Parts: sequence; C-alpha cells; structure tokens
Amino acid sequence: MIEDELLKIRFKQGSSNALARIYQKYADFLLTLAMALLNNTSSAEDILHDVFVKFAQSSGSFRIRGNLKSYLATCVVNRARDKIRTTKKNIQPMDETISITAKQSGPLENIICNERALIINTALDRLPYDQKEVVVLRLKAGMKFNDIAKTQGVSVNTVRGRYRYGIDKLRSILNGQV
Amino acid sequence: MRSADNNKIEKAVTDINFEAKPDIHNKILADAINAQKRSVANSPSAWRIIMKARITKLSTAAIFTFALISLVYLLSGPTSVAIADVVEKVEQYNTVIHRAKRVVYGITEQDEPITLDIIKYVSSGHGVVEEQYNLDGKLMYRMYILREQQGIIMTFPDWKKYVKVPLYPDLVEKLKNLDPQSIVSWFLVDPYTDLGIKEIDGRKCQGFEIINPSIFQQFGKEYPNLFPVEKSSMRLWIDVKTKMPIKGFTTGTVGESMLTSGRKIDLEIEDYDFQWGPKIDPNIFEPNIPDDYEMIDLTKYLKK
Repeated sequence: MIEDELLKIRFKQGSSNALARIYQKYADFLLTLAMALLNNTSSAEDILHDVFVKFAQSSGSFRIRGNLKSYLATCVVNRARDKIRTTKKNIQPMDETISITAKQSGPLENIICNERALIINTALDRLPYDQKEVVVLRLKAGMKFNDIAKTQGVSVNTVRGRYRYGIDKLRSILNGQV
Repeated sequence: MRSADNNKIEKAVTDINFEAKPDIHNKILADAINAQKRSVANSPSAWRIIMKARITKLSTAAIFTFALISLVYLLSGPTSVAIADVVEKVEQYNTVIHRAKRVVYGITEQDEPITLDIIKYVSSGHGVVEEQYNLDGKLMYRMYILREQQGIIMTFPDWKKYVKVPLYPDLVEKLKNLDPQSIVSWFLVDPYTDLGIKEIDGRKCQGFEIINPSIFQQFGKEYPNLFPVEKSSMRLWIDVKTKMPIKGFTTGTVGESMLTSGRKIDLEIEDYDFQWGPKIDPNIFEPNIPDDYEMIDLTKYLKK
C-alpha cells in the first residue's frame, strides 16, 4: 500500500521507472480481468495496451485519491464495456475460436494460461454481462459491493443480487467441473 | 451443499490467472513509456498529487522538520547587530527546553485546522528530542535527532510503530556540531530583515525575519517525496533586556507528498516558554524502542 502511494507520486513526477513498476505489478492481473470480461485474447491485450497508454498519458495531470489497483481495474472494466458496446456481439468468444485442447494456437499463443482457467472463463462468458462483471470485480479485483455498485450505477442490493445469480448460474454451468 | 459448491466456484474464479508473454508486455510497456514521456513533456504543471493515504497520521508527524529547524534558528539568533550579544548569551547554555504550538491547515478532509502541542528537549551533547501531543494531551509521537545516530527516529506509542529516516550528509555534518556557534554559521548565508522593536508578551523585543531560509529549502530538496518545502518564513523575537530569544514564529507551505497525505499544507508554528540551561535527564535521549514495535522503513522512499 505504501509502495503504491509512492509509485503514484513518482508516476506523477514523470518517472518511467514508476510506470514500469506499476505495469510489472498489475499487468497480468488486469489482463486476467480483461480476459474474464471479454473471453477474447486479442481484445484483452488491446484493453491492457489502451489502459496503460492512457494511464501513462495522464502522468502530468494524474490525480487519484483511492487505491491504485482498483483504479486500474475500473479502467479495464470501463474499456471492456466500451468494447462490448462498440463491437456489439462481434467479439468472438474464445471457446468458439479456440478449443481448449488447442490452446497453444491462434491468438492464445501470446497468453499463458491453464485449462482450468479456460473452462472458468468459458463459463463466465455465458453469464449476462452485468452479472459477469460483478462476479469478476468481486472475486478477481476484490472490490466491495458498494464500490461495484458505484461503478455500475446501481444499488448495492442489485449488485448483491447479480452476484448471487451469477454464482448460482456458474455452479449450474460448471456442474461439478471444478 | 449448495454453499460448499458456491465456495468452490468462488475459489475457482478467484484462482484463474492469465499472463501475457514477455514480448507482449515489452511492447505495451514501451508504448506506455513513450506516451508518458510525451505527456510529461507537454504537461504544464509538474507537481500536483492528491492521495488518500492510509498513513495520514504520519503527516502531522512530518512537521517535525520545521520543528527541528526552527529550534536551530532559535539557538542561532539573528545575524544582526545584536547577534554577538545573543550568541554570547545563548552559548552559556548547553541545554534548552521549550514548548511550541503548531497549527496545520489543509490536512483533513474537512479542511479543519489541527492544533498540536510540542515539547522539545535540546542538548548540545546529545541532540534533540521532540514530543508531540494532541489537544487531549495524548502523546502522538516522540522524535529523536541524536548526534550518534545518522538519522531521525520517530516512535508512535499508540501504533506501536517506529520510523527511521536517514539524514542527508550535510545535515549529518551539521548535527555533529550541535553547539550554538556552529549553528549560527548555518544561517549566516541568509539575508534577514530587521522588524524593529515590538512588545511581545509584555516585554520589549527586537524582531528579525528571514524569508525562505536556505536550510528549509534544502530539506525540501533532499526529501522531495516526504516533505517538499515550497516556501517558508521565520521570525524571531529577542528580549532587548536579556538578549535572549523569547518567541519564534515559523510559517511554511509544504507541497503534496507522502507525509502530507498528498495534500498541500500550511503550517504556523509558535515557539515559546524557553527554559535555558535546565538539567535534562539523559534517558530522555535514549530511544529505547520496545521489542513489540514494528518498524516502518521509509529509506527506499527517500530516493529522489
């Protein structure tokens, strides 16, 4: 936590070392988040790229009061929403382009993952997007329901409901696979 | 059963991880660094951080820097026609205890000023110990700047924590000679203004003022992440009759930094109630940090 506060200061001062350290700390976490939300490797990489380039551009005017990790996670979520909105249904889910057994082919070759992660991601992708977002933000980003509610612009109860339905549905989809 | 299954699902989602291969990371990071360089080059403002740090409580402690330096000023006296008299008087004493009141503006969310009480013990043989209390009389920290230590130690009894801040070489050298004559030499470089004669606490005093004393500015430059001093002023009032300092007023603005909770703060410090030459128990200058205190190491955060 203290390190992040210092990194924010140094980043604000224009330190590329600070930016590199922030990247090193959070890139894979953010990539996983993007993958969980979009279930598409090239889109996830694009989002990671866009979030960090945008973040880097904000160096001079950078101003956040809260947690750096949550801030970056929120950036990924917003980008993912934009991506969903602009591409509508054009994003090809991973399970349609790459079979789990052929995970080292296609765009996935750039991303290292395991079979279980692919199964979970595929299941996540079958949830309604709002539910998926809540589940991912809660479990992967560790965000509180209150904060997710603010991100989604809905009440905490709605978020709790989405989470409960999301987990129930995942259980049903995975049906003993985990 | 359902709850157990849900727990498994939650754990499975929590555990998923993807990693990009190094070449992807290298490309993204290179693009980000280039973007940052362009951004910084075009940025009109260079230093404006707002943070909500969990170490807010340290912020008031950070004000020690002014305390130390203002004390030093008080020991040194002004570079005026009265300096010889003042230094001669001050030199007679190896110890001083005095109190101070600090008001900090801009440190809280509500922008309410915080008032703090300070007691300082100074011994030319040992160093400086400062205790800061809140208005309820509760000890917030005890700070040690000791000749034998090449750093500042602060203990926080309420937290059971302590901090060590290494001193920059120039300050180490200064602390090796914590006697009034040496201290005077630190400040002879700064021009002063004679404020004339004024009645202070019913006594006829002569005042002196220094704007942006170089030692304050140097401190800010040495610790830019901790306590970037932007501007400051120091006023000292000398009793015309006794030739002794009786009151000091310091004001300062400190930029956004780690120990100010990412806020720009303003300070007003009044030093008063000087007792010259008291016998001070040497144990006061022993940090004696209890074993169960946890150290917060700020060393790596001091890099510029």
